[in-house]
Amino acid sequence: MKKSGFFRGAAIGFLLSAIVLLTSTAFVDKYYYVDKKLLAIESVINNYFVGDMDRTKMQEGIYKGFVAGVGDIYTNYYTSEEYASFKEKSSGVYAGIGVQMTIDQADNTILITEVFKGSPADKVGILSKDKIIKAAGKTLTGDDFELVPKLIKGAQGTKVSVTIFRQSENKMYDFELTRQNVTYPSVVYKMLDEQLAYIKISQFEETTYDQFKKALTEVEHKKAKGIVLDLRNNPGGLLHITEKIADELLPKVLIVSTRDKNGTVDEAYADDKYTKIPIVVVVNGDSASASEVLSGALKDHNRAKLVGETTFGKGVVQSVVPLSDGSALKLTTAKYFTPSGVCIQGIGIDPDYKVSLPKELLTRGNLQDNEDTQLQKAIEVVRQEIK
Amino acid sequence: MKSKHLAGIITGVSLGISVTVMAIGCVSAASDDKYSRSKIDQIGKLLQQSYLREIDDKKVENNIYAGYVSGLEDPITSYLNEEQLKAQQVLQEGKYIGTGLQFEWGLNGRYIIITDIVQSSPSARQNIKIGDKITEIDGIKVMLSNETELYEKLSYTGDEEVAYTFENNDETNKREIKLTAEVINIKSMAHKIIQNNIGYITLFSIKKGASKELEEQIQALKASGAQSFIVDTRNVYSNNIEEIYQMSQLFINEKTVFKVKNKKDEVKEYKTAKAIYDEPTVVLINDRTKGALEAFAAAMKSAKRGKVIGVTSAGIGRINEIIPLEDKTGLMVSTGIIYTANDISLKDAGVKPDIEVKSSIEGVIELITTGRLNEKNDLQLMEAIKQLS
Repeated sequence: MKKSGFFRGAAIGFLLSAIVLLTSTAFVDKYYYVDKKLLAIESVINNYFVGDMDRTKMQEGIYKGFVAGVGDIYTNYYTSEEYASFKEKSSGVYAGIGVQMTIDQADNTILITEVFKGSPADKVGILSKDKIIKAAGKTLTGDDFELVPKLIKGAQGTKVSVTIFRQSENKMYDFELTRQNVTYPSVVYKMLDEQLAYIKISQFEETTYDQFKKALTEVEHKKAKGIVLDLRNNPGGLLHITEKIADELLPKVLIVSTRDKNGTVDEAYADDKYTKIPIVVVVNGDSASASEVLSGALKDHNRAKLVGETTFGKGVVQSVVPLSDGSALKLTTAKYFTPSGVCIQGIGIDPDYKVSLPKELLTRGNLQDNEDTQLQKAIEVVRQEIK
Repeated sequence: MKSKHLAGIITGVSLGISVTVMAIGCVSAASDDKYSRSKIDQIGKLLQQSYLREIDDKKVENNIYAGYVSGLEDPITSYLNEEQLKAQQVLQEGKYIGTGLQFEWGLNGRYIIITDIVQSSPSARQNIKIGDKITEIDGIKVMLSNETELYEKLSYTGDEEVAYTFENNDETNKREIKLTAEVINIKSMAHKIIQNNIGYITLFSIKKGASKELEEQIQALKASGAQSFIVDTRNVYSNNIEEIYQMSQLFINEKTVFKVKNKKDEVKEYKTAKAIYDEPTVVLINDRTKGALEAFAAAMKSAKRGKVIGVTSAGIGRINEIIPLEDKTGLMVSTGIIYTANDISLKDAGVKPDIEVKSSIEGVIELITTGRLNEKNDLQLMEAIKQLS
């Protein structure tokens, strides 16, 4: 009986203290359960998973999963490598040879669609429609499309060997190119006729405003009476660049306002200097974000009519915050509102004139101007504005 | 007695504290290298301060597990939360929880088009037909910018009703229909005679008993005059290696059909006995033919039993198992790799067809604008018929 008294006491003491300690630990250390569960998961993987575990990737997975848990596709964790790549993309500048490529579906090869003027590729005589057969020693097919930029881009001043096939001559050419900083042309422009200019912005990067200003100055110089501004398939980009471009086209009015989590409102205004040339904007379902800021501002102030299809509907703004170890967090920090006070998230901006491209033409890239029904309507509308 | 109790209690408490502290220590020591707590804190704080919307702390924390497992970069291996685990377990029984709508995104992502309605499902009881379009779900406009929210609504397995805005294919008759998910039986397969003597079998899912059902359908087709067969395995995901083995047994005579290697490098060889059918047979595959099912096409090909037509399959030739954890969540884990009879791994590379036929863009556009694909525009099926004629 004496002994059982001891053991009963011991049992009670043991249980009580274990419970108290465990619950207080869990209460104070919120990671305790997380760690415990991760251990359980790791054990299952070790016992059953038929592949290899890369611990670095799994650690990155934890951060990615944590951030993705807020449930917003625009809020992500970037590893240091991904962050560096992101910065390069928004800058609009990278060291490469200066070509745009696509996959030629007919024979599964890599086809050059554009050679940037003054680029390393341009200097050695590579032409648009050349096929890249080999790069950095690797023979390429269309299946390697994702890999090609990685092979061709590199540090400024370093060399890369490229073999191309020129169909028109049925000949192969070997080139040794020196990588240079190439500015991605995000603005192209041309005169459609004596009176009408066409400017296409494909993305809003750091260099886009300068390119746009150059295009605008050129078309003013050519005495253009009307401008068709093409924002189709433009996924967006940098807000401050978009505001600068809007400033060129609008008088002293509100361009866009943003509101963050705390209700802080930020407004961007244009100054009173702007071009008065009539503009019509062409948009489609892939005109997103910054494209919608620009078209929304132009529409709300009756500065331009919109032609095409309802835009994408991205009405939120992200900020990128670098973390102390080179990785970064991109997160949705604000909603933006068009001048009339509308947040277009999930709604998009409706065009004034609804025009879709014919079904049959959707399968072909590189439409001729006369087949482009959206462009043709825009031309018709801007001609009316000129009268 | 009291002092004995006390001595006991003191001993018990000391023991309790030391054992528990050691246990906690073990847990955190073993977890030290998995992630940095200070980094999670830093990220968490940033989100709290600046992320625009409300944050569900539980959801964020739980997503750590999904993220951890996705770091394996395996297309199948994933973490299953409570709802997902339940849904997977239902799938194992050849059923699924849903409304019975099969759909594709429409042209330019402006609508969702109905391509099939499962028999006896909630949507089958409503005024909905193939080709109808969904333009809004629970107040969310169908647009690509709402893709995540829309997909959540479409795959919702809970018991709250969801309001769908439907219209006819010609954009008339706009109406709202409320649907609640139920447990639905998945159709296994369908069969019909084409061109008088070709038996055409379309597979939809491979659950337990599928091979028996396939045998019955072949018998029915033979009775109706079929002298050759097309087995359509396009757009089907299946993990059921045993049924797929039995399916191969129907056609392939005394050959090794495929092999499965597990974590310990142990190899299980699947060999068939005498085949039941020797009529000319072709198999259709595409890039959505996924999982253990790819082994069927590989087997028909390696045994030279019948031509495989279409495009290269998905390249996810593995065995997967659901492993539950203690807390009603679980993992879907790749536990075996499937090899062809010629020892080619199907783990990351799909089965290449004997005759490559890509689907036409016109066919895709027809499907997403009308909800149906006319057989004449189904180039892969047309080639199969040509091979058997």
